[in-house]
Amino acid sequence: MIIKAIRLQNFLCYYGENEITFSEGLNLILGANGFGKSKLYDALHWAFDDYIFNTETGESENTSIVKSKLVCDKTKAECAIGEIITTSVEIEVEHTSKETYRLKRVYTIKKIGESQFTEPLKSETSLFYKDVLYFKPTIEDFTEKVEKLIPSSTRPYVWFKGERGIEKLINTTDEKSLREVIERLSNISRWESYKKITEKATETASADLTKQRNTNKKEADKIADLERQKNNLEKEIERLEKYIEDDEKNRAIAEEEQEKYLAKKDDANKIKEIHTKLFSAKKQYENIKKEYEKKDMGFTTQLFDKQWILLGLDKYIAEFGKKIQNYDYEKEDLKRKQTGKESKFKLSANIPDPIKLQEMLDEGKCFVCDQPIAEHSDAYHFIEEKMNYKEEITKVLDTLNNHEEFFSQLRNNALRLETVIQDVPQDITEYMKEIEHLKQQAKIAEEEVNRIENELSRLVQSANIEEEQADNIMTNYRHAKKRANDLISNIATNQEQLRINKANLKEKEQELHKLTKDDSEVLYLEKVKEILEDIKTIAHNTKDRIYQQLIQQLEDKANKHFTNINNIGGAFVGKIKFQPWGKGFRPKIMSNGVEVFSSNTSNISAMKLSIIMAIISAKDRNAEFYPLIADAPVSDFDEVKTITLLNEIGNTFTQSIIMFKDLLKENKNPNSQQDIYIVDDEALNDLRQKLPKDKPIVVHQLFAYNNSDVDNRTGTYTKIQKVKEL
Amino acid sequence: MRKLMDIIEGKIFKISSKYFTSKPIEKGLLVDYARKLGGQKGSGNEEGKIERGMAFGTVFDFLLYAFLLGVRLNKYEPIQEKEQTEAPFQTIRDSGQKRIKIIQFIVMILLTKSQKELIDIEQMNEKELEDFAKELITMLEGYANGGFEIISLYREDNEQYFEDTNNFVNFLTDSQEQF
Repeated sequence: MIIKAIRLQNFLCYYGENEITFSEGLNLILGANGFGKSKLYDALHWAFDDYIFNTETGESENTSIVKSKLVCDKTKAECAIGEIITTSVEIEVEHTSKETYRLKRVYTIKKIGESQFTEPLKSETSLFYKDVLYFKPTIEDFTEKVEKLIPSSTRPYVWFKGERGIEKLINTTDEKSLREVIERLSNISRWESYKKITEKATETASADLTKQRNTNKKEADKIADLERQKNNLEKEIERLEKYIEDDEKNRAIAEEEQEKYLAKKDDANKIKEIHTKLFSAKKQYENIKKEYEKKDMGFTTQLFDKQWILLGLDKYIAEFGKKIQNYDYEKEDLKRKQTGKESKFKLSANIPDPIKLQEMLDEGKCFVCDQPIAEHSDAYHFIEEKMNYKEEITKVLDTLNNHEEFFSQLRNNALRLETVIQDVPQDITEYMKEIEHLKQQAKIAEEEVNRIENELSRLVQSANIEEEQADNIMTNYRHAKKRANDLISNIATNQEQLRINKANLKEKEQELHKLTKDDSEVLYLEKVKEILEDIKTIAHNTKDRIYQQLIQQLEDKANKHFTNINNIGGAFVGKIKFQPWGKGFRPKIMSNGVEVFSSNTSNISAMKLSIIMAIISAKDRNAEFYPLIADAPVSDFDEVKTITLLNEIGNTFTQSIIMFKDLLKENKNPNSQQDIYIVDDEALNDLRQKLPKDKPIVVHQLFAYNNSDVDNRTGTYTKIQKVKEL
Repeated sequence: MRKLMDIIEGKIFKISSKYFTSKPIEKGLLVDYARKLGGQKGSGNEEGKIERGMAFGTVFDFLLYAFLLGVRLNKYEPIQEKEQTEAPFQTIRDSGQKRIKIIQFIVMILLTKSQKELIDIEQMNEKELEDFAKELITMLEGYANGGFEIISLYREDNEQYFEDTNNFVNFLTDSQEQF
């Protein structure tokens, strides 16, 4: 879009009618402070979107708020009561397509009192298009046309006011900001739409194909069923492929782990084995040691348990035997004296023991002479009598203090201990041998423990594995191995299933093809679908690649602009870097790979303008271009830098309209009030020298008039005049 | 009428440790080689003995050992003063039952060594029987005392000998050679 001209009628400080024609190239509007530069900027904005900029609030305000303040004060003052005042801005634009339009916005008020007016809430718009020579009204919607000419989302990037406007261009603290700028101003969004279009087209082609098949065939149901099966198979294939891909990744990880542990597995295994060996050796040693200690400690216990304590005292048994024998005789004698009859038995009443006598009778044999004892024989009766004799004696003795049983008990106890006592020396020797043996065994077991411990310590040292780790290595190795094996088996199963599904799919497709093969339309649609699917893939892959390329390209171009603007006088400039940040990029000024903090304001402004210019200039030639409209963008810049910036802008934008106070100088000999400022020809010529010849420079100057008192605004107004064309 | 064995056993079990520990020569002997009686729960058992590395589970066992040693070496040292008020060994009855074979053997030795014929014992009335039992116990104490003296003497010359508790077994034969 090119702005060809602007006509102002009673708009703010522009009294009466003013017209400015613009050309391609650099259009400079020069005016000192308060001369109406910003009002001209407002005029352009108002015409396009019904807003003007309120310098007091810093906000854009709609006609419904500003109302009659839009109207030139001087006109309002001069107008008679009851008269109608028309305020309008008319802009003539040429679209890239070479169609020319005239956009007109009108606001009308009526004076009803000295300073009272009827104030409508709305402005009126009208749209004309140029038919060969003349402008004719068109029924096209004004807002839609404006949006087509320059989208409202794009406008803030190419139309801005002062440094604040530049500041707002790119928000360096928002990851999305630069990406948004790029998407709005570049052609990259085209690729996103290609992607969407191809997706939609593929979808439509697929639906068309299905529809065609269904309508064309009698076996519509069968086709539908096949299509459904085919779709399901396709989904299943996709799902399986995803599974296999994931499993392959995880398998690689598991195998890597497995290898890592494998390297240490053998040593770990050996360590574990030795550990087990050590454990059982220790246990064996403990057991033997315990047994030895128990045996050793228990040595003295044997004094009582095995009656070792009685060693050498068996002689008392015989001595006591003699005493008992005497006792028996004495006792028998006593009995004889008491019963008054002689006994026919030579042996005393207790010998042999009556129990033994009973056994002889039971077995029918004498234990003394080994002769048989027949029942009811003399011998039999003799033994019976001997037994009865004992009983008789006992009866007699019971009348006295009979200790016979007690003595007999002592004797029997002693007789039982006799052999035991005789065996004591041998017992002790054997016991001591056992102790010695266990002691030796314990020593051997202890040596074995030491040997295994040494072996373990040597291995631990050489394998560089902690004992505690050995277990984990084995477990981890086993786990990784199992995981890898499970995944391999999963992959195999899924691959097999995938193969089956693909074969099925092919079968279904063939079947479908067979059902529809005679149908040329279907064949055509199949081809279309196939091609569109390819295109979809291409669009998909290309977008990301193009975006990356674009970013690089923009960075390069931005740096070129940045260097051109700054590379004067040897001042520090740095380099712009688009640093990846979240989902977008953040522009930074870097120096030797390090971010430059607290860069001066003009440097930041230059960076932002450079980026905008890079994006604009990166567009291909056929793309829509927009004029740069900037009001006082360079007040931070010194004169030299201003020239280089203008040069850069002139080179980048097909058309630019820049309002500023630079390039004006004080007139030493003014003829009138209006030529206090004159154009700085020297600076202008310098700019001319720098800009290529095909880039025209048109200079307009704003003149302020004051008919009466300077303080009275109703007497002040602005006129605009083209002063140079180079 | 009570049986002789009951009377003797009853008296054996009433022997007091004080008899021996009050005599300077045996002082510390019981403490060194036998567990103190009437102490902790479970005292006198096998484990406790092993834990403490004592040769004898109870002082009573030590007494029996000393008696048999005295008899074997014919060392009879009657105890001069008796303090009858002294409490008897508290666990004697239990360990006494466990040692019944040995006790019976000891009673047999005492009866053998006694001047009295067995038949005469049967002639005794209860009072006489009681006195006879006391006589046997005095004999027992005398030989035991003799045994303790032998150990004490031996220890004086061989300080480390009984540190190895197993030497109480070896002493059965070693003492024979020495005394």
